[in-house]
Amino acid sequence: MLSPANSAVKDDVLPNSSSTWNWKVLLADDDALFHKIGHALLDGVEFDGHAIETFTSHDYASTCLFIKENPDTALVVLDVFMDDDTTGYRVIEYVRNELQNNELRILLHTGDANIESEETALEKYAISGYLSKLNGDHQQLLIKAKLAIRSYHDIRHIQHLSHKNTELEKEVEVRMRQLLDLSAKLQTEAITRKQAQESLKEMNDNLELEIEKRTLDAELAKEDAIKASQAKTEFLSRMSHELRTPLNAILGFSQLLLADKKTQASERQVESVEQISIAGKHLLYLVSEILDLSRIEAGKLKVNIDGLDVVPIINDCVTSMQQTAKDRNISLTFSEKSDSLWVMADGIRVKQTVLNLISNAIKYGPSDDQVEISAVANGQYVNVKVKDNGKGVNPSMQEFLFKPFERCKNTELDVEGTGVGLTITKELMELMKGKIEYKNQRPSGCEFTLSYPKIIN
Amino acid sequence: MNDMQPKILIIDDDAASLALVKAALSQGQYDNVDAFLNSTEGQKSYLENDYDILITDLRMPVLSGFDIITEVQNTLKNKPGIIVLTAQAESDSAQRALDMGAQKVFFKPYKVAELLDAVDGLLAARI
Repeated sequence: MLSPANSAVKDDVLPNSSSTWNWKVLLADDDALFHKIGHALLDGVEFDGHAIETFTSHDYASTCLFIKENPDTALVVLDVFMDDDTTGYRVIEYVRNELQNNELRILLHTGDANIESEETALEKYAISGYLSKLNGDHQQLLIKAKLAIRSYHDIRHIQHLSHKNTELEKEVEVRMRQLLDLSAKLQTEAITRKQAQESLKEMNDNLELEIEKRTLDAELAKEDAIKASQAKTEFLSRMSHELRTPLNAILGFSQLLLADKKTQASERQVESVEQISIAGKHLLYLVSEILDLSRIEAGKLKVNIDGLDVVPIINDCVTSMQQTAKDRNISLTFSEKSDSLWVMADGIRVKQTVLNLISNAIKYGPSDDQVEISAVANGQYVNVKVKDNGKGVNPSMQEFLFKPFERCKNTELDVEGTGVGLTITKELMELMKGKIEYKNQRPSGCEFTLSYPKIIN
Repeated sequence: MNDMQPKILIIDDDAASLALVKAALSQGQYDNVDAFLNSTEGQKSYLENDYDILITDLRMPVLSGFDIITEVQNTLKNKPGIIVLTAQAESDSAQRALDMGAQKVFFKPYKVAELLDAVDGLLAARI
């Protein structure tokens, strides 16, 4: 019985892959009788599921031709003595050396007893065995033929496996090469990535250095700016001190002249001294403003907060500004809603902030106009409003309103002032935890509101 | 010159300031006044003479107002009343001068009348 596996192998084993193939056996002999006997004994005999098919040849040439044309011949029963006593050996040499056919099984069939030469042939060329013509045991032919066919089958099978093995080896090699290629690619990729990473790191390092350098530059620039700012603050502070000394003499001697009852000065001279005094006071006010600004910039401006009533302070301010208002034919009015309005603030600074707004309204508003001041409690604040009917502030200049030295550019240049009044007022309001607000009025004028923290009863 | 006139010493390195104090005191009928621009000359004077009132500036070369106040407080037997005049409006020097023994500090520019009131007040307190 054949196993299916064996059968599968067999189909592959033989050159003719159709399932109806036969074991080809060549009977090479110059004796026609042996052809008949061999044919009778072997032809049609089943071996391993396939029939034996016999062919005949009678000399060197026909034998060699058949084997050459039928490379799938399984067995040749080869008569040594055909054309001459070496024909068999020459056929063997031809098959093995010329055709390089090592699978073909050869059964030497000889009539003489030249055992020596047969044995030499047996050793030299993988020969399956030999049959003696002398004993005429035909049953031996069948058995030896079957053994030889078995041997042929096994050789082919081994060849097949070897072939398969070679194929597998090739496949393994191909796969191995693919893997090596892939590995090489990966390695290349890894190197590329590493290089990219390195260049990225280098870039990063350079960037860090650059950032460090720029940070240092920025710090140096900042230090320079701070130093410059400190120098400016120091200069402003010193200058205001230096200006106070001569101002002291100007204002002091003016006071002495005006107070001297025994002087014989004319009215005109007295008026002149009064003008010196007014100009001196104004100069002092400007110097004080600059000193305040330098204090703000140095962070040294301080306020002394206390509970106080703003109404009398506003009244004082209005009184002291009446003359200046009158000079420009401006009516200055304070509409009191309450007898007293108590706030938490610094009295001197409240006066300074209110005076600043009134002074601005008189300076920058139109002449022959009116400036109205009002004070009302509103929520947590006491609001002091100063309103004029001038042109208001150009909206594009509003952002500069509280910046020092700006003076909003649209104002007439002949109006005197340092341009720091509103800056100081805003700073003072913030120090007193209050605020300053501004809005243009319709159809004309503008209104500033100072909000001081109200004392809650 | 009346010997009962109070004796006043003024030291200020600014000539105009010195002249103003002198003129103010004169208007206030105080005429027994010594005035020095040079603080070391002023020092020599108060070491040799007794004064009722010393009016001094603070920031001066060689001897500052503080040096003078310290010396006056520590070495003079008859200590004068001390009034300080300074242009240093923002520093804490005023408080420092008061702490060291000055009775009154004025910031330049001061009101002349107030200076005279202070002189009157200090002299009245000394009697």
